[in-house]
Amino acid sequence: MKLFGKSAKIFTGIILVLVSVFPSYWLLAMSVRPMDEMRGRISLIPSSLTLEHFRNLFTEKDFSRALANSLQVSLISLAFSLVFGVCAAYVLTRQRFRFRAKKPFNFWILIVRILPPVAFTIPLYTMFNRLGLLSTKIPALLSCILINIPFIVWFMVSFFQRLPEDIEKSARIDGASEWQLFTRIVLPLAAPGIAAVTMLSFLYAWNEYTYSIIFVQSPKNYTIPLTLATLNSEDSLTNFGLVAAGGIMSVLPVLAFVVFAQNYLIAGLSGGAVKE
Amino acid sequence: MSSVILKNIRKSYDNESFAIHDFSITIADREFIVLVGPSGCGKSTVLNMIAGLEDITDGELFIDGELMNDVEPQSRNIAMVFQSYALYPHMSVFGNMAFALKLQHTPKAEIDSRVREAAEILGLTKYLDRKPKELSGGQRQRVAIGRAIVRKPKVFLMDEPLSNLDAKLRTQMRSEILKLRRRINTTFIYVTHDQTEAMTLGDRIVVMKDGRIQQTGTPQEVYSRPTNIFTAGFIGTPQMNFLDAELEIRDGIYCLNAGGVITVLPQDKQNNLRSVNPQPVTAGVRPEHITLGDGGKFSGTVDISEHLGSTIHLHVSTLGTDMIIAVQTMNAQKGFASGEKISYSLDGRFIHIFSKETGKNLERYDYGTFGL
Ligand SMILES: Nc1ncnc2c1ncn2[C@@H]1O[C@H](COP(=O)(O)OP(=O)(O)OP(=O)(O)O)[C@@H](O)[C@H]1O
Ligand SMILES: [Mg+2]
Repeated sequence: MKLFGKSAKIFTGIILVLVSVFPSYWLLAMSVRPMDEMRGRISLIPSSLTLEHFRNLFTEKDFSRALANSLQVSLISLAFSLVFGVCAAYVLTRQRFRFRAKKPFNFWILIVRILPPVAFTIPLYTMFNRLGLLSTKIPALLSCILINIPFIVWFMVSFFQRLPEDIEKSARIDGASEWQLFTRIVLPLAAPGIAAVTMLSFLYAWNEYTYSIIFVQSPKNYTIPLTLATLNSEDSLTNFGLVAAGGIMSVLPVLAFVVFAQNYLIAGLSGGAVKE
Repeated sequence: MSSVILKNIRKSYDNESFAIHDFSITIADREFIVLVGPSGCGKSTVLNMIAGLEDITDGELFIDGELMNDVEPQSRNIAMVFQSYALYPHMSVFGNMAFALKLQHTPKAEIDSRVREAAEILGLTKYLDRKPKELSGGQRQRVAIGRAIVRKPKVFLMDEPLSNLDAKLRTQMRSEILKLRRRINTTFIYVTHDQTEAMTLGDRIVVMKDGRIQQTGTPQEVYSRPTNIFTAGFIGTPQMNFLDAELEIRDGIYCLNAGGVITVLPQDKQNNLRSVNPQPVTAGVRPEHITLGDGGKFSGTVDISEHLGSTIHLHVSTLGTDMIIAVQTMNAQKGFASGEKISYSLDGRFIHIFSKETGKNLERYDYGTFGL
């Protein structure tokens, strides 16, 4: 009985690993497999390795520009959304901040979260068009902010609600001004939440496609998801290596960011204190 | 110098009902005041208003003669210890205690010496580098107190600081607070729902119920001259016994008729009751003021006998109610079996007489003649 339980566990484990790990492995393998190995029966392990796809990506497809665009859009929108989102969430959860628009504001956030993103495309398109922004990266940036601020507010509201309020009362009595209270007590305690929300918002912005495909019109402004999409179609789907290399290249910055967020962001915000 | 004066303070959270009604008290410099009352009676609300954490709906608050209603908490020069300790989890013990001083830009050397001094008083020197989560409950409580004393505040507020500790630690911390009080000698306002804490710590006790002051007085006064049934029942363990009785005048002398047994009231009560009409009353007798003995005029049946070491609590059916009688173990030759018949007597000096209608104590005390 026990033996069966154990082998069942191992079996399930293997299945899960295959389902989740194999596609990633296959992508990696494809990106370094020479072209002539891609026809007919494809071996599990590439017999020789090449970096030609990566080279082509940067020389022929101008991938570095896409990379730069993506970084720009993601990081700038992230910075804006974080500052506004975290502050808004704090103000919304604390009873001592009272203002009339509090309820409508809460409601607005819910609405933006509930409506499918596509619902905003037409009004946004009209706005961006009138403002003459369609030839720039700004629409991509703004649409990331539009989606991320409500998300951050939503997430952080529940986080702030769980922080014991006595700690803040204590700090106020200890003489902390509103700003000192926020930066020295609230932010450090919220660091794990902020780190999580930072990663998720960055990922959203990095992978954003729905809006970019509509609002970003000139190829010089293409972000990585848009560039990847063109790779898929142009060479009539035969150039798997290039697509795979693009996929890998789009994941690397994210990995770097996650590592950064885990190691430095939390430590930086909390002064190395929440490392438990 | 730091007196605290509350004048007709009222508090409403919802603009409809009041959590605190017409609360007035004058707290002298260096006095130790204890606010005590059942859960939800508004103790924390009063404390938070003094601290500036809650707005005062109506009335005036003076600290040191200055009107404080609209002063921010950080400018009131008070310190507060919370039931939850409310330590800053991301700072070391040192950081917690130094936080307020750092915000005031106190020179580093002075911060260091003041924190170390407080740590010395509280026995925390070994733990200065630890984070709050690496400390026991009692140690955390000390840090919370230390954080308050390094600031040398005018007024020290404490909201049920000991209620998260186990019984033994609580007793120990209670005596430490007494010692601390002797050392730092400032005004204390201490909230608790534990009447033992109230009795042992307070110079004066403020008994509260439903947002109103029931009685203010020294522990002695509150214990021996409760102004109403509520205070009488709230202060003292086990609780005061209450019985239905008649206040009668026989030959011009006040007597209590309980279940047909007449007890003549002593001279001081005769004076205090002056001009009170004979009427049905609720008589209150503390369990420790009942004497067992064969000559007793009252009789009852033991239901349960609880042996607590130094005393035995007898739950007795008598006069149509349940009564608790506390017997010193020393005076009990043998144990008590349930079902056993006993007789006891009441001493007129220790009977409290409350109006059945209002619950108020019918005696009017002439202050100064009191010697119990
Ligand atoms: N922030 C608040 N909003 C609305 N009502 C409140 C708030 N805080 C307290 N109250 C109400 O005010 C009354 C007094 O509460 P308070 O916390 O002062 O009681 P307490 O005596 O400290 O009780 P405890 O011993 O349980 O701490 C209660 O009826 C409570 O429901
Ligand atoms: Mg309370």
